[in-house]
Amino acid sequence: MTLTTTSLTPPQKTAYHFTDFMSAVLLIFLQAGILIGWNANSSLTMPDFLLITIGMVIGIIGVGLNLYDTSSRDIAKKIIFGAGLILLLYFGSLFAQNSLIEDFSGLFGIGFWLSLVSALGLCLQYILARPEIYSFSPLAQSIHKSPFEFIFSASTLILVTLNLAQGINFMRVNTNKLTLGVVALGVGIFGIWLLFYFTNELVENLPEKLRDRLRPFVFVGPAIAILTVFLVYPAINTFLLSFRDAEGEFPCIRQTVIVNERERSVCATETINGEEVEVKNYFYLGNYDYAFNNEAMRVAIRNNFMWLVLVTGVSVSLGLIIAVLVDRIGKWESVAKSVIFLPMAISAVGASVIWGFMYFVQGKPNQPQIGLVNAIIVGLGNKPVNILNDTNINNFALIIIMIWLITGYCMVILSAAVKGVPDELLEAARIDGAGEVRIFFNVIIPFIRGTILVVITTVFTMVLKVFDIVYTLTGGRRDTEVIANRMFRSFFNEGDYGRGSALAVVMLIALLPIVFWNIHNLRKQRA
Amino acid sequence: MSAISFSTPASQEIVVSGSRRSLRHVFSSASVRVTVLILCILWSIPTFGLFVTSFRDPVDINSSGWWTALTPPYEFTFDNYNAVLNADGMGIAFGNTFLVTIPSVIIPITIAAFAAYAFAWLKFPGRDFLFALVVVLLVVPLHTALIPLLRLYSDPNIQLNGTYLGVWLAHTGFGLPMAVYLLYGYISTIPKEIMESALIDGASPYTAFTQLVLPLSVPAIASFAIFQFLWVWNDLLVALVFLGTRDDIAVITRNLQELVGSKGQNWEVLTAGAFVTMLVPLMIFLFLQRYFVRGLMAGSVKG
Repeated sequence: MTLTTTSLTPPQKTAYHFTDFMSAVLLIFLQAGILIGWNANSSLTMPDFLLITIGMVIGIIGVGLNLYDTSSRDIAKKIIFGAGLILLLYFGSLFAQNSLIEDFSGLFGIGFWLSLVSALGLCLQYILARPEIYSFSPLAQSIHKSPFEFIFSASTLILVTLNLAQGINFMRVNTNKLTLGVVALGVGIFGIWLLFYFTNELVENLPEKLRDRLRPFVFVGPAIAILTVFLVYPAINTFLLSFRDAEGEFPCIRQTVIVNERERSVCATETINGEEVEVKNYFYLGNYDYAFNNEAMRVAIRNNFMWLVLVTGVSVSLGLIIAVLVDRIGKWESVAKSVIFLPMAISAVGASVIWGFMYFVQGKPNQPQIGLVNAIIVGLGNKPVNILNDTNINNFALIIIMIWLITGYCMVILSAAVKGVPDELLEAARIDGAGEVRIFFNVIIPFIRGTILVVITTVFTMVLKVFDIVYTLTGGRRDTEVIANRMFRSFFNEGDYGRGSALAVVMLIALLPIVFWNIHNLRKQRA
Repeated sequence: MSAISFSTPASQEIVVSGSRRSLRHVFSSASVRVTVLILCILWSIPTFGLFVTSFRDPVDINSSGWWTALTPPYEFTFDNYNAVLNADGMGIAFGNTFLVTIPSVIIPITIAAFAAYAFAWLKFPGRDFLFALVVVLLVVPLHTALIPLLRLYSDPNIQLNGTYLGVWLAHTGFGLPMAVYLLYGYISTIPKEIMESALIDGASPYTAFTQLVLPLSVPAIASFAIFQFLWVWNDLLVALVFLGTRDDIAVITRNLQELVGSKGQNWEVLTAGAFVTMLVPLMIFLFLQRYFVRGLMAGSVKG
């Protein structure tokens, strides 16, 4: 139904089509949501559905009229608003009778009735064409708005929120993929937008001072809330969990006792208030002991170090060299760049299959090698090598995959920086008799130092988190373990939350310098 | 000549233009071209080999190298794709990946756009601190979030493990810092005069956002959308942790990784499967390269 929240603002304001549109969408959304979506045992009859459809059509016509005709109250609109009013009243009683929402008497009911009453007030004001009605309360006078608008925005906000909650719950329990997708898009696009819209409406109807203070938080609030729930709280929680045992509990302090002439490790106990309780270790470092002293973890840390040095070193240098080279090949530059850059579009799992095939070794004698690398090795008269199993080379084989994936990224960023080196600078160096190699090292590199640093930190961050390649190709066997893979296996396969958390903290600590560097850069930018 | 234009994280526009004439003459142009050509060939051989193999008969694949298929007689077949899409579940997984990806791309956009606008143009206490938080979270690896979220999702009152909703929410959370940062970089460069004149005309900040800021930020939103799309599409870790290992809801990366384990020698399955996972990203790469590059540039620091 067409209700407008701005139709009763001071009469000089006549262009309000967007608001009307949103109101209509809201009501359609609410009706569909309340009646059909969230209640599987809807007891509505066919005539009711017909009336609802008529209501929606009227709403849409109302929107259309408002879009075409922004001049104030004409008779057609009055009729439509009137019809909307009657339908609203009818549905109000219908909803209440049928109680389709299980807790209709709760918040949902309050929100609904408030919204209905305020909508009614708005419609009446509109039909009577007497905007001065709003001047009856001091609050309304101070903000030049009808109190109905305030109540309407508050109650619709409640309704939108509840509908969103219902929608989220629906997506949690429903398993039909198509329905899920449709509801997700509805909630993801319209639901979230309506939430912002009506929170903003509510704040707009507050006194000016309060309004200006609250509004920014309406805009950033949801983002901050999500970041808190999905990143900040988990990071803190991970840190705390890293001092706990596999189940995420505080372990007890162990002590060795001799039972039946055998040494046994048992929990130390103490007596509190006559009860014997285990002494908990609130600063358990066993996971960190594992992280740095376990043999598998030492291999992982060694490998990660190798990954970091080799991938960062090779891909950044190679990227820089290619960036300088492609700068000089004329019209084919963009094609060459695309070719080198293309692996960035490929998933690490896909890349693992591509290279797994390159490295493949045919075990049986007298069979031709179908993996390119071994075909070349054999073609040169050598014996085939089981590349991913040979502990001397398998890490390098995996590292090459990452270099292949990431060099294009380095090249594209550095290429832009190389083009930023002023021609005059290069000309001057050339006039001074510098060769191209000297120009590369003494002019280009110093000039783009900042960009190189950015690329290095980015590659470093990506490499530290390498997981998919190792997980897919070797699973960390044969000395190819890396921290991220060990971390995943700790909690996912072995169910050891404490260990997994400690390893995540180790990764975070390795990235802390970059975190601080980023903040430092941000400060510099702002200054 | 100019092929790719993109913005660095600081979002200054740099247009990649053609070569510099003076340099070309000085440096031996032929040897540079040959070097670049060799590099390009080296870089594309692995993918090309996979592509060719995926169209070969299994018997041929195992009896001769893929490079032999490049000479006549040409014998290519689509059978591998038929098999992998139907028998090996790649078809279902392909649909599942779309189901995971599209909401994960769309949900963060509105939330991030509002936040970026507030950070760029509204004054409020704690703004600098909150924005610094966003920048910090950009680097924090998502690994630190996995275990607590997994535990939270297993809570009997929440029960989000193994649901698409859980994955959407996780991807929304993990993608949000980057979305806010990217859009902030763009929105904050809108000239001050434009913003002020809109407010003088009586527009509320909300109206200024919907009527002015949002239409202007479409390129940045597109960049984010493409980056997030590729990120989610290619992701294995988040899908594995929150969707689990059930076959009927698994995404393609998980399916392919599973195939590597179970059919490690059946290259006709693996190559065709790998190519199915790469198909959509490669289409995006080919047709939306501009936005693709820009999005990757700005978002590559994502934790």
